[in-house]
Amino acid sequence: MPLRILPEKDFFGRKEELADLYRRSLEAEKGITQSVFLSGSRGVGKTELLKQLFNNLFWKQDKVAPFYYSINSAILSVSDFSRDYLMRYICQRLAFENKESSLIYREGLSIDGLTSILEERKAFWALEILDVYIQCHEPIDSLRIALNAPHQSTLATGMSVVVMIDEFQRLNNFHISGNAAPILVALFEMPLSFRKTPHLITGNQAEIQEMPIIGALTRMDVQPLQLEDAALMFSSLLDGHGIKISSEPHTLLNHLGGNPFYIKCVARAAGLSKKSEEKDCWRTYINEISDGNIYFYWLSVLKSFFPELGKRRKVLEITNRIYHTGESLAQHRISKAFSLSERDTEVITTALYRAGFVSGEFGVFRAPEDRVLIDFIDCLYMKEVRGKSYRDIEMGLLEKTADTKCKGTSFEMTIPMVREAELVAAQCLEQIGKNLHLDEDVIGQLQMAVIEACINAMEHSKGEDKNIYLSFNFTEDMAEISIESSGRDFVSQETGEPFVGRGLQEDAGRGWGIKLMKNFVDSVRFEKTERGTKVVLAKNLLREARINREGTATGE
Amino acid sequence: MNNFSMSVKSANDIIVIMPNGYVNDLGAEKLERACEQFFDKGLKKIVINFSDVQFINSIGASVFTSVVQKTLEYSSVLCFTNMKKIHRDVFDMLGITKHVRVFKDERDALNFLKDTE
Repeated sequence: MPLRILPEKDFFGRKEELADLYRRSLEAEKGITQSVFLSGSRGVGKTELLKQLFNNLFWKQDKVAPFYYSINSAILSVSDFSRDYLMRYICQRLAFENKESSLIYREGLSIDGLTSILEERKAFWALEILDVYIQCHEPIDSLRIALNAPHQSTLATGMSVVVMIDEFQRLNNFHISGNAAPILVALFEMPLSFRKTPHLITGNQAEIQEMPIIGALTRMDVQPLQLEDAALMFSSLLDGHGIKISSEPHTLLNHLGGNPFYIKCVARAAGLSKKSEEKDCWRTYINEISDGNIYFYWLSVLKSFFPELGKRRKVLEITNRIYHTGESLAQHRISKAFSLSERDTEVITTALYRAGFVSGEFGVFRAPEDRVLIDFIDCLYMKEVRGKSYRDIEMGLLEKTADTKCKGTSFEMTIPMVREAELVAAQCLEQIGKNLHLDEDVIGQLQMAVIEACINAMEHSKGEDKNIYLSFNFTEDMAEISIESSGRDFVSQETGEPFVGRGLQEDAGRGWGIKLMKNFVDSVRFEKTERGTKVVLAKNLLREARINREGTATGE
Repeated sequence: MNNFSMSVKSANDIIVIMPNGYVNDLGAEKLERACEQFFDKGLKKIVINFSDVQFINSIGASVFTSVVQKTLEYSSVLCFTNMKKIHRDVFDMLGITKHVRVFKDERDALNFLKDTE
């Protein structure tokens, strides 16, 4: 493998994004591809997506060369960066030409060493670029040469290049001989505009959004995983620890917000403890945010943005206040509440925003949508500011998570298996949705899925019980609807999926029923029960409402 | 139980069908037969106004594929109007909207068809 990536079986829910990026990359050959800013929350999988793209481009085609570069905090003097960037580019470009992945990892190569390799391989285009670079002694000009190397190589060889840069925000710390020079990032503007060498840039969203080059980029959002993919990923990770689970902890997975990093952390910890029931997973999660990998990850982010020890306590207090006030807080209110000068408040809130701890790019701050982050801050606040013991914190969080699991509304109903009885269930669902102030589109999607599930239940009913038992469970962020009936033959013993055999295959309309269900909810589970068969439909209400709001805002 | 009904109106050579209620297999077949009858009479411009459709199920939606097929066979024009987003999503999934003209409301469809040969 050129870059170390997850095996295909563990890379969940990103096929469409990967295919889209791959297609865009190949279009670089025609000179029509724009540079892209790959945005998304921390841990959502942007880096993995870039690495997967690199490997696909490296092995599966020979027309567009991939170049992957992750900005290293230790190499931010302009001279060091230029040299490293240029040499890695040339090595990766040569590696691609000969499908020789070992060249990608040639660490410690000197310029003379690289020159010898280039001479040996008669790579005159690269020798020419390297020669110009060696002759240049001005740091800024050297940087220009390095950044333009992909474009120059394309002009010389005709081969387009896709440049992937990770952790791009670190370039804010560019310096020349120890003097900060963040403005030099603007030198990327020209390379970003070349259509035959499009750049894919990612890193910390809040910081990149504030950089001067953002206007030259088309934005592409990497969304959290769908609940179904999150559940598959969780099962697969536990499977790697030799643990088979009968049902995934959907409430917890929903709480993790489809973030692959969080899912991996909890699954790894659950795998090591060999405990995988939902209640055990919640305890594992609490350990993760109070003393595990998630804790150390967010703590390191906090420390890197607030290196001064004396400030951290105040930062925790402010963040906790923003999270739990229940409304957005303007800067002057924070100043007043904490007796801080406007200037000090600005420094703290700007850093909190850039670190991703709060939302609000126009100076009015609110909690992010990331509930794991909120739990982490709660935990840290209890420990460091309130001086609570680990046991107290654990109890508090268990109570809070119990609330997450229990707070909700449930309805049950039984309908007879008579023609068009599914409409009764659909109408009830409409009223439930209205009572809970659900988005109209979400209600429509749930109704559609329930209608199809009821029709399936009627078609596959066996035995004397001619009723369908429905259960509607709604929490603040989740809808789970189960439709149970007699009908043992509907689900395969081996796969847990419905048969696509006689009856389903012959009738095209019914085959579509299951596809429609899967399209309109996040997860469709088929379970065998005492009564017969249960179809469980689950839908994340927060994400759906957000997507619909964004759709409305963009005029779709 | 029957939660489907349908009304038809015509304006010159344009037929407007207004299904009402639940479009399941029976409802969609009624719609299909109505369309066939109009095609047989040589009418080539049909508008289906979905404003009073409450629900569509997968069997009902899939019957529309044969209505589209007939439209193509008779070299006719079929327009869908006043569709709820969920119904539009269902027809998109089945690939039906690729073969019909979709308009926000009936008037837009009528204006379009007036100028169509």
